[in-house]
Amino acid sequence: MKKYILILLLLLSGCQNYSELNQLAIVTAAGIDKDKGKYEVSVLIANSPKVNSSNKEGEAKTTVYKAKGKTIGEAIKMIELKSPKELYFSHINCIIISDEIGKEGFLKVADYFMRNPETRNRFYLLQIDKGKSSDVLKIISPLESYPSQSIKTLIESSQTSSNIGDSASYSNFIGKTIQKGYDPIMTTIKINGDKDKGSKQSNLETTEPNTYLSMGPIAIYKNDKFKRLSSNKETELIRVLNNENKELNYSFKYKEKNVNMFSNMTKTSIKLIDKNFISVDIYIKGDIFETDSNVNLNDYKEVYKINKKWQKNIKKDVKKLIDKIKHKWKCDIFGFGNMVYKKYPDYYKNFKLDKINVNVKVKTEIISTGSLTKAIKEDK
Amino acid sequence: MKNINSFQYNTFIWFILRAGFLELTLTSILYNVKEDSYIAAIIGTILGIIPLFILEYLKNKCPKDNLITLNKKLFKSRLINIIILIGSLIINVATFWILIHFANSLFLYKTSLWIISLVLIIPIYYTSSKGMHVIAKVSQLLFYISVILNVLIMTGLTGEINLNNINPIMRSKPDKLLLSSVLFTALNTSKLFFLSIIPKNKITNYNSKKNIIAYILTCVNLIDITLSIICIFGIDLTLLYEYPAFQILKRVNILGVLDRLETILSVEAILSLFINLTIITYYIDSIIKKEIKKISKYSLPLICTFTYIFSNILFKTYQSGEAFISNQMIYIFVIICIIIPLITLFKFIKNPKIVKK
Repeated sequence: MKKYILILLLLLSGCQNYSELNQLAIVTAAGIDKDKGKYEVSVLIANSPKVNSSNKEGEAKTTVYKAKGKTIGEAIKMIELKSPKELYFSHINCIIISDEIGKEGFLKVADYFMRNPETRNRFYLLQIDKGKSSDVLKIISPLESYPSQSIKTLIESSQTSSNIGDSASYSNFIGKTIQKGYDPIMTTIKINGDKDKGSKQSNLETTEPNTYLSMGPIAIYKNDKFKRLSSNKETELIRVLNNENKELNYSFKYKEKNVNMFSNMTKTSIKLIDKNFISVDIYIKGDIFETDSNVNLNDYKEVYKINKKWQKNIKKDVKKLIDKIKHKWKCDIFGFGNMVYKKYPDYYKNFKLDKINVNVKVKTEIISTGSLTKAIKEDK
Repeated sequence: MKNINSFQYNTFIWFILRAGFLELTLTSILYNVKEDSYIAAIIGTILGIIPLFILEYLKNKCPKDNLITLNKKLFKSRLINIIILIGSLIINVATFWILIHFANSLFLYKTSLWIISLVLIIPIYYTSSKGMHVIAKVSQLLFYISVILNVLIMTGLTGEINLNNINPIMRSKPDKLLLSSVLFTALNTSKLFFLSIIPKNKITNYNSKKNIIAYILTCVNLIDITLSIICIFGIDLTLLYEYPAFQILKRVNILGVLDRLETILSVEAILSLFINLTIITYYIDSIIKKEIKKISKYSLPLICTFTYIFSNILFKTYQSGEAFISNQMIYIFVIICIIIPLITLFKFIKNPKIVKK
């Protein structure tokens, strides 16, 4: 008898404070904006009954709740007052912030989602490139059921060509922000088209969606504060230097004609040689993808020359980027200071980003010239 | 007491050393010596050989006695055993508090501590009441689960490790490093003393070498966990978390297919605390049965009720509990688990004939 009472006690105690699934509002994405000195938090609810039932024209299937507060917690509490269900953060996929939040310092708002025991630390953190983050949560995609899933797929599908998953992760961003000698970067997301049309069901009915989301350039941060956006070319090179790019598409002029190279293997090693000396070794292997020049690609000397030109151009661009980072941006996004701190912790106090010498070595290799031996030209 | 086998005894070593390490000791060590935490754990492992040898020596020299009967014969007074009883009760309360707080902050953060405690104290009571041979069998079974979970954790985390994060090495002051090593020994290894309740002749195929190997293997595993946490998070992110050992479980990804396993994998930490608590409860029960015979019939329910109530009312926050255990409790651990066995040892060396009589 005693045994059964004990077993019953064990099993029944699980009934305390339980929540049924239909009492929970499962949050899959959140957006943080600033409005009139207050934080405006928007949450995207995934298990809205609309997802299964809504077929009316012009009606969005997703539900977004929005509220303001002095802190993130306060704003979320306000949302809970509006939402008939309890907010559940365990399935959150991404958090989107506006550039205003970034400029003010992200660590001010970082605490809530990191401290919450419900959240996992593997969700993505993105910054919106112009606009309000709450708008991103409303854009519906023809290929995914929810905007949050569409963002996640956008990040993860691009992992076949680049590995941005790590740099877009919330905990990695915070980890880099609080590390000595590191300035973090953040992936951005862009709304292309009309944001109002993008939230309507009609966005799914056209062959070409009126509004869609795409990955934007990299947001450069100084400590936890957003400084600037990189250009497209810089974004690609930053990803190469961070070993995040698996593929690189690079165009340059050869004998005044265009050559396009495609590499499917890039490897970068950044090593600290001395207190003030860093060596950057880049190895790129690729193919000639496209050319309008009339060079004879059967001639190995020509291929060798193209390779040299490719190598020289990448080296020049990387050097230019590093000089910009050192002198203009003054943001240590490659963690040169961190390397110095780890190897020479006592010297770190004297470390200055603009004083460090960086030697760039690039090795390129052309594997194939494709199926053609020369450019297609009228040869009469 | 029915006999247990040496493998079961070794599984006790595995669980006792791990109990409380991931939840509390590790956090204190990381806070003290940061990147050098694994060095503190290595030194702590070496220091821990001292209490292990005291235990082995007493077991080998007095195979028929446990520490309570040995103290009774050597001192001919209840005092030492009563001190051990009080100290063990405090240790039991603190260990149980670690367990309920761990469950409360990570899984059942909306559930009252009283309810969580009730759920956890019942199996402890039940297992302890069944005797040492049942505890040993449970321990053996849980050991296999623990090892499987450990292998899964290590496999799922290999891709996340960045060895560069352990730099800079040896930046902590030697006194802090030594203090952290003592903390490792005092809060983890010293608890092996509770195994003195099992006389050597009740363990079939008892072998000191096997025990030392079990000790070293467990410590290697703990050092490995310490290193993994630092390598995966880097020290700054590690120090942000209340339970970094649990947070790394959120990153476990097995073959790119299995993830979100943290809740299942963290059961491993609960198993260690569970076995440790049943052994301590059994230990206290044995002292009461030997020394305070009047209440011996109700000793186990009394111990469990005492633990249940005090673990809920003593520490209100993790910080107050952590501060108490790392700063004040360490003395209780040292007195109960190292100094008293040392006194017993010296007394025995001085007068070995008393025991033989």
